[in-house]
Amino acid sequence: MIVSFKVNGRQVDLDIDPRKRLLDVLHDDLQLISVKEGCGEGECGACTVLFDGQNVNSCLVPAFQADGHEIVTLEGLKKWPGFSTIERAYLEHGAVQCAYCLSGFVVSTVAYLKNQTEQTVNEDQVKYALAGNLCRCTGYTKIVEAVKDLAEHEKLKELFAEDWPYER
Amino acid sequence: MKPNPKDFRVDALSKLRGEARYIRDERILGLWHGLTVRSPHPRARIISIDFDDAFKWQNVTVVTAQDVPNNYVAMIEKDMPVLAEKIVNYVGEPVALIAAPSPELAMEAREHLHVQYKPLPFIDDPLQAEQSDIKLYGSNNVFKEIRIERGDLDEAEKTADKVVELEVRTGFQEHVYLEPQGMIAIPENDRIVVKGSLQCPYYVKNALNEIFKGLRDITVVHATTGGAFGGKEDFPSLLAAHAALLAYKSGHPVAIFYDRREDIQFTTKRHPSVSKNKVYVDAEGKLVGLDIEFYLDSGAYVTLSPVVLARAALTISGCYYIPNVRIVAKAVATNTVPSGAFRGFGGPQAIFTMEMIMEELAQKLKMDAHRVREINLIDEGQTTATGQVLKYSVSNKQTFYDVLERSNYQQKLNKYRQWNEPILERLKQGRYPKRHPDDVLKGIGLSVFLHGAGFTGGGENRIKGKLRIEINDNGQPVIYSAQTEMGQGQQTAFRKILADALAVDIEQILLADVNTDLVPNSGPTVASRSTMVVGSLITDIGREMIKKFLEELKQEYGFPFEYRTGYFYGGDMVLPFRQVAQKHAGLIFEKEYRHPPFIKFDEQNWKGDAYPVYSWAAAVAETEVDPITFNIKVTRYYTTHEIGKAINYDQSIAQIQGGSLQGIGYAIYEKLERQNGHLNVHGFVDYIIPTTVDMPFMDIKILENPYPFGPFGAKGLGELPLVGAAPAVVSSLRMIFSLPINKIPVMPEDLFELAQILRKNGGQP
Amino acid sequence: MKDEIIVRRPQNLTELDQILLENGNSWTFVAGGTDLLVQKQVWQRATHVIDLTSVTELHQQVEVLPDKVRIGAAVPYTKIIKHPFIKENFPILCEACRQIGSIQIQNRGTIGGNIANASPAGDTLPVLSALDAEVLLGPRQNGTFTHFKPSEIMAGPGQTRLKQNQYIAFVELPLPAKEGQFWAFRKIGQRQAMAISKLSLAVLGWMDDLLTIKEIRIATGSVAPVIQRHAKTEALLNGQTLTEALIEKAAEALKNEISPISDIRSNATYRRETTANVLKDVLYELLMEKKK
Repeated sequence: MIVSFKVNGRQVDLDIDPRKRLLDVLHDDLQLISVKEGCGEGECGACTVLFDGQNVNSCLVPAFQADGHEIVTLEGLKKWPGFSTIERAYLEHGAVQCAYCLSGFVVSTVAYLKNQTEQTVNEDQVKYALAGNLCRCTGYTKIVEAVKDLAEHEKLKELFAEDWPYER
Repeated sequence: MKPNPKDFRVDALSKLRGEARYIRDERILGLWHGLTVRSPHPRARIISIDFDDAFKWQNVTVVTAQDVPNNYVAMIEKDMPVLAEKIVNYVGEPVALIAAPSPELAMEAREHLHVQYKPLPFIDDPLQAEQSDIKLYGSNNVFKEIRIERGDLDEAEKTADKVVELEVRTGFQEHVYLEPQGMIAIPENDRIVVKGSLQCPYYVKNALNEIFKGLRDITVVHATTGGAFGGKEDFPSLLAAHAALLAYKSGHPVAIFYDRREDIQFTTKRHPSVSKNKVYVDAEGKLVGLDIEFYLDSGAYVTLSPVVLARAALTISGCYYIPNVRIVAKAVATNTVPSGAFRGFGGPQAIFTMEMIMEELAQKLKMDAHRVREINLIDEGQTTATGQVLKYSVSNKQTFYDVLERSNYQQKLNKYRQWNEPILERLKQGRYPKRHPDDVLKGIGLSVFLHGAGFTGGGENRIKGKLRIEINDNGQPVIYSAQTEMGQGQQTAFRKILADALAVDIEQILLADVNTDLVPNSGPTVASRSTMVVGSLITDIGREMIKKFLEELKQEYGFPFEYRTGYFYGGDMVLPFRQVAQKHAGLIFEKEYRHPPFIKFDEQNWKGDAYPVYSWAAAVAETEVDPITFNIKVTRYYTTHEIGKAINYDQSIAQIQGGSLQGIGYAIYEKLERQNGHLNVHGFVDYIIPTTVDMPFMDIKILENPYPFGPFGAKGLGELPLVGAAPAVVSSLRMIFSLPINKIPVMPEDLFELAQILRKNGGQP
Repeated sequence: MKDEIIVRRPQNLTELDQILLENGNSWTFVAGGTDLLVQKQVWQRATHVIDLTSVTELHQQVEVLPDKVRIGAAVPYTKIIKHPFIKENFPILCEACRQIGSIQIQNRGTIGGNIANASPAGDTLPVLSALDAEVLLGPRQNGTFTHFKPSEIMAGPGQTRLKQNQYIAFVELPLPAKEGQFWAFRKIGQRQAMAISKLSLAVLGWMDDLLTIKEIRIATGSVAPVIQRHAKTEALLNGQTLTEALIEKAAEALKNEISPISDIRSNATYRRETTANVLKDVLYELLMEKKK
């Protein structure tokens, strides 16, 4: 069946097997290799992408449900001026190890920063926001520290408001 | 801890940008997809393999045992077949392989392939293996037996004031690398190239060389690897063999990518252990004798079990001085998926056992848990159970005292005991336990642990790791080693070691891709050996390189030069390293590792220097137990690690954080059991690892006590953090309940049962 | 190769009902997919699929009516959690939704899916039961939906009494009185996030200033093969003054009223005692709070 949707700002029209998951279409057909399969059961979050601005497990979304919607993967986040700040926080906090989980974490980080409405940042909030992304290398401490730092970053809020290159 | 900008990981940016290519990200034209047909029985005779006519078999390739040139996976022994031929020995044992142009077609073919089995009786209890009439290995199903003896236990019995006996058990553990196993094999004329997610390229190459002896040459290429933890040490040899056989027979490149279900059920696990322990102490609580019978449940085939067993046996008494010891350790066969390498490699089981012995002693002697440990700690100049005199970099007491002080252990212990008393009293009386809504039981516990760096015994002298460094056309040294990056930071560490040895920037140093056609066999990336053993070759070559260049400069200019901070100074000349090196483009330096000659180990009698040196650590865990649900939360985790020298301080902390949480998972989250020969978990839904919300606050300190034969004094680090986390957590739970807990994982259901005991007996066990 | 698969994405209820009434196919419904796609066998074998997320009313609609709220069965949990009216009037439901899976799951998963999946561990189910929810099933017959109680739909683990081609359209929640209201949702799992319940307990009740319980509703999840309301325990508490002795009696009654199972996540003894203890905990906390 034909599905039409936006990926990282680009309109795509694909003829797909309806049984395919969004993950398969993104990783295999569109070669967006940041989208990783870790479990295929929505438990690990390695396949996390933005679906209309919200983070979802692409392994649990039938690809046809993307029709008419907007998908952003890590590849697409790089087009946003705020990405370098996110990247630097992860780098400086030493939050990168094997990194198979990492693109999922970065997408969930962006979703959290973008969608969170609370006035103050606390660690529990950050942890809750990232609980759907499993990591086995880092023990999470450095990732949570990096995201806590980012949540306090005033400039990012501006960059979301003014320079977010996508509709949602 | 502020990260030092110089130590940023060299692989971080490509990973953060999603550009690093893992094996599933490879694009290979005409790639076929392979899958594995597996045994549904723990043990059975294969009657027949039938192909039904409803399927067009010419469109796919099927491989069975008949197609395997030499049907064994060469590891320590050759007992494990690549594909089962007559008998299957565990649920999930590979029986046949199918490859097709698409995964869907391969799956369809599997529906039409029918294997007939005759189920046979099987062994599912490691303690029954020796006596069983079923013979899986030799005459008694014992893959390996080790006896370590020192002193005289009769003497211990005579002088002992008290004898304490207990049984200790540890469970399976799954690695849960986030990237499931995956391998691609590409046929090329007289060669098969295998590329995949793996730790030890030369293990795979050697295994495949034996299978394809005289038929094909083998090249093994390492792909970016998404975590391993030992799970990609031994297992990839089997998986690579499967992919290579399908590629060999079909003539197409073939990928086998496990999904999580397949990975979690049918790849190696940490060995479960059972031990019967008897310990003798004098009136003050000093250990005078230790008598241990220790079993590792090794599954259906030998794999690496003999060496896992050796490390367990050699680690078990490690942190304490004990004059009389008998350790009888056995790796036994059961009809279960083979147990294999896993971070710690027998160490976690051994340390848990010994630490529970100390806990039991404390309880029986009515001493504090830290006090009974304190008076028995081994120190420099004392001898271990194998008679090894601890000479270098011994920090057992330093880590112990440091972690107690930093965590404010003593004060909290007293405070929490008082705090818990009324809650426990109410539980004993069967009353509602809380005084206010957020009342919880508070525990604090500790553990003392060590890990021998590098291979056990003479292993390093057998493998003779070789390293090569070449100067490229730009004057940059390129390190050629078989060491692999799997997340632990090896690439950064190696470049930093050579950069520091040469006093140049890390950007000046390059690392060759890990491909067995290019790199020498510097040994596997295991056993906390890469930094210490291979790293020492890097610093040695670094020194040699400078020496060589100084000689060449003297030759060329006729006066002596001196090397300081990246520059050669001679006369009024100042030449940067790179300028000098560029003149020697193509120059090759090679070195082979040998242990310092005074290290001696007798492998027949298990006497001598089991490891060249040990890394030391101690930990304090604080827990909260909900008195209603008995849910356990580790709230704070303190640990002090002494690792000689931290090559990359920030990433050393990261290793300790990650390893500690993996150990906490081992203690209270990760439950995997065998039921009727089947493992009872199928994925991340039922194998529970900690999430961000479950992680404790971690307070980590690294002490440095340089080991003279490691690079800049470094010893091993990778495994140590996991080794001692579980006993610290369980120690804190024992502190709360003052009742024996001698097995992991500990579940809320177990603590619930303890509370029932408290209630029934008014607190008496 | 596999059979072709037909996917329909109706835009509204009328279109949806038309598809279902016009031919004899057996349709598989998908909303958030967070349960269905995990069941790979079911998903791979489906031949006719209807996407409920394309049906505007089901995916978007939270309708506030005078005495109740009507929630589209395919509205994602996140939208429910953030909905001001639901937050204000049904905090117990928000709490249950917040404890489901991860943010990723909450962004896709739906109450309709939770009901249709019929897992005893479905976290919203005991809450819906305590809220006296009505489930509206389509397709409409003569313009009206079929009404069911959530507990009536669940037949056993993974099994519902939904007929072929019947879909869950809406969940209606009667507006509970605010005065004297107390509530609790407790979910006990192996870890603190992303957990599958070993047991869950939903309590909704009303009490006056003299600590007399006017009405209490108690429902459990994961304890037995199906979600249950506990009428006997409720009856024991209704009309009584909350005291320590009453709490102990109620816990004892609940212990006898439930029939827990042993499975991979826990055992029956733990479940029986702990469910009772959690009820105790909820009521003692209420007592402590009131006595302050």
